[in-house]
Amino acid sequence: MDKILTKRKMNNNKIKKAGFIMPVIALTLFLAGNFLAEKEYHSSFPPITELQPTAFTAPLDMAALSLGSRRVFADIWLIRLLIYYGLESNGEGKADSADEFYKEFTGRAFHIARLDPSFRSANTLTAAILAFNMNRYDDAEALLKYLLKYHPEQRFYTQSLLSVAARKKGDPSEMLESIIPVIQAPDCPPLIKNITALLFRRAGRYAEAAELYADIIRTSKEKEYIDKAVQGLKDLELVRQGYTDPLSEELQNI
Amino acid sequence: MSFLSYLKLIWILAYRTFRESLKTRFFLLFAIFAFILMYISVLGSMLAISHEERVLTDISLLLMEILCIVYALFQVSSAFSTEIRNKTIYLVLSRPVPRAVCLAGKETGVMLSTAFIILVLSLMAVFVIKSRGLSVPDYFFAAAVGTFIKTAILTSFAFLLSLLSTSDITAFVMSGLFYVLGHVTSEIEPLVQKASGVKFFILKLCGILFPNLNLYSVRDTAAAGFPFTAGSLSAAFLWISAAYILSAWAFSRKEF
Repeated sequence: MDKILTKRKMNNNKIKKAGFIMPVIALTLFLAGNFLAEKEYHSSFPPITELQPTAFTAPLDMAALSLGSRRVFADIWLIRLLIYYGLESNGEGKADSADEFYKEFTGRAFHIARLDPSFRSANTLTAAILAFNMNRYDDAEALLKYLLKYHPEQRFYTQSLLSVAARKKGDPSEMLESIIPVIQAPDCPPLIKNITALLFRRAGRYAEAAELYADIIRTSKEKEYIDKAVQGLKDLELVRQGYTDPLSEELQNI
Repeated sequence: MSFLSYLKLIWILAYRTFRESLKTRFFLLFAIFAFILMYISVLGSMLAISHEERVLTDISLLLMEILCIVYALFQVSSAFSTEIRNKTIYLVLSRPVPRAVCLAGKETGVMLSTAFIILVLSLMAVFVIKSRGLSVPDYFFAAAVGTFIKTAILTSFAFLLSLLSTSDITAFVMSGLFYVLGHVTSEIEPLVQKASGVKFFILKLCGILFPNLNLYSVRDTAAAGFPFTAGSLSAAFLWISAAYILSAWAFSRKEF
């Protein structure tokens, strides 16, 4: 028993006797780890200085940075943006006058872009809403240019930018050519597909419009766009039977 | 004693810690609570309509990490105090087992139970995602590995903090702060470059004192591709080793 206890004491004393050599070794290893980490770490996100927090966004931004979860918080901001957009569209939002409609939309869209510029489907969606639903071409352009600063390899942002520019110029055929690669992406929002289908109809390319409507029905989870696509197919059936497109007048305004 | 017999001792202690942690009622309650939380996250993802897959995966991965960290910190902060309270620590320390080996066994045991809980939570997340008719993205399992590496780093530092602090709660809170600062330090780098004087010194010190946990946040940088490199894995190994050596040193000086 004595032998065992002596052995145990000796083992423990070896570490004790090492004195402050062990903390020095530990510190050296820790700093070596930090040095390696500094060499390896390259953030793909915009720097913190670009976040431009407001009293409204700051608490969630702080949580995003503290938990290393920009992606999740970009998702949360997208949900909040969709709720805001829905409420304003239904007249249940904060806006008191026409000028105030969707007033916060641009700021909120930029906030998602600043948190996660790689969130392709959300960023393309917000840019499309700004350009095609609200006619805020300059905001949409600024948003897409900001996104391209961090993801120049994202051809969908380039294509969206081109289609916004064509829309601004009032050239639908150019807009159509630039938007086709965007709608081929699996995560393309149904809103963009629906707008493109209308553009196809305007250009008289009914077969492609029908194909796109069928794609919306097959892949979308949004009832609103599924209903629009079903209606679109019914309209195209009438066109096939020789009638004029029921939306021919409205299509000229797209 | 040979190196192999030390390894055998570490394994025995690790297995014992692992088994003990799974036998507690806390594990079962924790698993049920985790599953309920993950299922509730479906409600949030449904609001995102056409982005449901991404949102559900992201929320599941974040929940997985937070729950796993809480579980690991709870295990660590109570690892020695429970043994001291139950007086079971004397059964180990009265044998010719060096304290450093005892610590290594405990750490490995907690890391094993953390790996197990990550596996359980991953299966829950996959079940929830599949039950919504969605597909699990390619980076999901890389993100789970990233969570394990982060937890392993935090576990080793939490052991050190639990040996230095006087209560379980203090160790738990300090480790939680360590997790937060581990993420923030790399984010404040642009502020460091702009700062000067005392401000610069404090911010720079923060960057040096805390390991950069964002290096393993695969769930956040999934778009950038598979992120683990030999360098990042070596950094994790060095940090864990540094924390272990300091803990062994602190443990050798502790009086029971």
